[in-house]
Formats: sequence, structure tokens, C-alpha cells
Amino acid sequence: MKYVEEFRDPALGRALSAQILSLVEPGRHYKLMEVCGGHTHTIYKYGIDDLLPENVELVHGPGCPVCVIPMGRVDDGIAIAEREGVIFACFGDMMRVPGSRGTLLEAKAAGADVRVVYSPLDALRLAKANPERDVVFFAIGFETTAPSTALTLKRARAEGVENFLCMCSHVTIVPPLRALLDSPGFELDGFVGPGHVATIVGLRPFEFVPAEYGRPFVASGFEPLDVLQSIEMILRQLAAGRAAVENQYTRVVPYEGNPAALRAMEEVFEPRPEFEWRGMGTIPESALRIAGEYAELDAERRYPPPGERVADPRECQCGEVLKGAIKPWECRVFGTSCTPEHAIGACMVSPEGACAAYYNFGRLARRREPV
Amino acid sequence: MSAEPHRCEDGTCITCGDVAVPLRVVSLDGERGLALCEDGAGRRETVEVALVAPVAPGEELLVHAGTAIAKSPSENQRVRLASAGPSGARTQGGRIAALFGRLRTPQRAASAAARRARRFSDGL
Repeated sequence: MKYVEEFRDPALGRALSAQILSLVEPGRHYKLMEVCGGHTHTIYKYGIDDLLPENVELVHGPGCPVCVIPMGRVDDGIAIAEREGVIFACFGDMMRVPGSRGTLLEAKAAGADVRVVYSPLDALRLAKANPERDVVFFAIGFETTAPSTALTLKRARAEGVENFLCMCSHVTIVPPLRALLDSPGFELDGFVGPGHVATIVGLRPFEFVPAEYGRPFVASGFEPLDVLQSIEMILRQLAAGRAAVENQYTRVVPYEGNPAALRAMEEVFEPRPEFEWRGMGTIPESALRIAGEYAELDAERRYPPPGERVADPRECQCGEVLKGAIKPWECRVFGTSCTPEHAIGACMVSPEGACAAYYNFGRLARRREPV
Repeated sequence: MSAEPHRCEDGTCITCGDVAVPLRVVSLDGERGLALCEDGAGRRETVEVALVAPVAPGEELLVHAGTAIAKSPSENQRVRLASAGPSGARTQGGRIAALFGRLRTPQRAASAAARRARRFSDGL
């Protein structure tokens, strides 16, 4: 679409880069975290980090909902997919994520009826077209995606579709951010915040970041100039000794979020007491499950999964990458036994995972192009 | 249902990338709260519009996983960023145009600009 060109204007990019240079103190190291796979992708596709001064480092947080799903949860999905009479519908994002017994793609090759959909509406349509089968939609994603699932569950009930079920693995962004900020030794100067999550939940849920932890938080759009401007806004706060929530993505994000989305989520979901995150352990109230009123649509009640906790392969360091503790190239198997073609961990499977982004955009070593 | 790819289309994953695609409303099914929308290439899909109602044909929506999560920015909002630039015209906060005096040496700026221009244009 035409307007996108305005957010990719090289002249503006140079200007923002120069402004960023003017805001940093020589000798001070800045570490900024982006928590959204879309931002990771933009940064490496457009080489945003090369436009930054040497002492501004970008790290990638746990914002890729595919990457944070533990292997045991993938096993749960495969177990349901293998049940007689089930059509298992999921986003393509999940097909190649390794569980302990393989991937959903491999389960499909072995005979399970696994189908890729691009929306929960697609899965509902499958259910209507196959009334004699149960269609289980594997719902993943953060708060950007959860309302879509909630609305589809409401629609299934309203339209009397009784063979549409959901295996809910939606996660929420605030608890892992808090868990990171509470981690001993965790150093960070500010967050480039998830713009589309903020479109749903607003900016208020992120006020705790400056209020309790004294760090700036800027909700960012996804074009390269959006990300650069967000970095500039964080550094401007730091230069002024301020910490606040700011909205770079004002053209889309309202402060109060989307009330209709929040109401739908409130009606259909409830927080799980705890949920396991790959590489981060168990985090309280960090994921959603289907609320009692919609219990008959919960796939895990009709088809109870094994629910076993599976440790990551010993050589996998996805957890450290997801916390920003190491860069992808610092993982002992990055680019050698772990590649997009043969991924050991989820960070390499998802194109927006930090490892895949680094690998696909040629960042195989710690080297920045001087500009 | 079309053949299932091993990866998402265009190497972008819906949930990981938190992608919201701009689609234009072609027609409405008011009774069911759905809209038929199309992208710039004319591909059409059915979109849940409960979060952004009311919508009208011709409007542009930002769509994530089959649900419209916002209306596309207005023409005014797009123009505001576009007006910033080296001409010194009206800018957001007036900061950006004033910076061109601080660009690095012409030699480095020229080679760096060439690299950046390639990088930015590759993404279009």
C-alpha cells in the first residue's frame, strides 16, 4: 500500500540515525529490548542495528509466541491431532516446532489430519464443512491474536457449531516482562514495545515498567522508521533522566486499547494459574484458558492431553536467547547443527525467531557494518 | 482449502510477526458481523469486524489472523510523517529537518546512504 513508502524513506532514516547519535553519552552502554518478532524481523531486514551507534545494543525478548511454547505443549497438540476423528487446525507457525516426538508436520506425514489455517474463522469453516469430525483449533499468540479466538468461539456458540473446539495456548505479555525485570542480573535500559498488542490492551498495562522499574517503554509500529523513531524516543527519555510510557504508533494505538476486544477476552477466557514458558520456567497467570461458560468448546476437556513437562535438548540455548542473555551467534549450535532447515529449538523454526532472523539476514558472527 | 505450506506465506508468521495487514472492505455481511476484504493484489478474505464496527465499504482495516484490530491510519496521520524531510518543511516536532547539519562527513555519509538506500528499497 502506498503509505508504507513514507515509513521507509531513507532520508528520514538518516535523520533519525543522526538524532540518535546526538542523544547517546560516549562511554555509556545502552541495552534496549524489543519483544515482538515483527520488530526483530524489521531490524534485521533493514539493518536497523547498523544505523545505531556502537554503544546502543538491541536484544530480543520473549515476544515470539511460537518460540516460547515448550516442547511438552507441542506434544499435547500432537496427541490431540492423533485422536480418531479429529481435524487439528493450526497456524503454519506451529507446523515445524519440535516436540519430544517430532513436529506437527511429521505427525501429519504419519497420518494425523493436521491442516494449516490462516485464521480461527478458517478453522470454524472447516468445522462446518466436516460436521462428523471434531475440528480442534490450536490457538497461539499474544493479546493481538487472543481476541480473534474469543470472537470465533462466541461465533461458534451463536451459530450452533458443536464440533468446533479450541486448544488454547494464548499467552500474555506483561507477566514475562515482569519476570525478566525481576531476574537477578537482568540489565536493560528500555523497551521497544509491541505495537499490535498495545492496539488491543492499550498502554495502561505497561505503565508498571517506568513506575516500578524506572525504564522507558515506547509502543512501536513495525516499519523501519517506526522502530528507529521508537529507539530515538527511548534515548531521549534516558538523556533527560525520565522514564515513561510513550506511544510512537499513535496512528494506530489508542491509550485505552480496544474495549470490544477486552470484553470478548474477559467473557471467553480466564488466566491459567501458571504456564510454562520455554527457557523462562513457569510464570504465574501468564496464559489463558477457556472459561467455564465455554467449557464445552475446550479441546483439552474433551481430549485431555498428556500434559508432560519435557526438558529442552541439552544443546539448545533458546531460553537464554529469549531472555536477551545471549545473542543467537553465541549459542553453541547456531548455524551448525541448528539451522532453519534442521532446527533444534523454536527460535530457529519461526522466521521471526531471533535465531532465524539472524541466520536468514546473514548475521552469522558478531560483526556490525560500520556506517 | 489450498495446499498447506511448510512455512507461512512470504516467510512471515502471523503470530510471531504480530502482523496486521491493511485490507480494504469490499462488502459487508451485517447480519453475521463479517466483511469481505481485499488486499492490494486483489486477494480476498472474510474478516471479523466486531472490534472496529461500524465499518463501510471502501474503508481500510488492519487485519490480524482474520480479525480487524484497527482501522488503517487516516490520510492526515500518514501525511504528518511524510512531511518531515531534508527540504526543511514542517516536521514532527520540528526536530528531524534540523538535524541535517549534523550528518557525518560527506564521504562516509555518501557510502552509508547508498547502503541504507539499498536496504530500505529492498523492502518495498
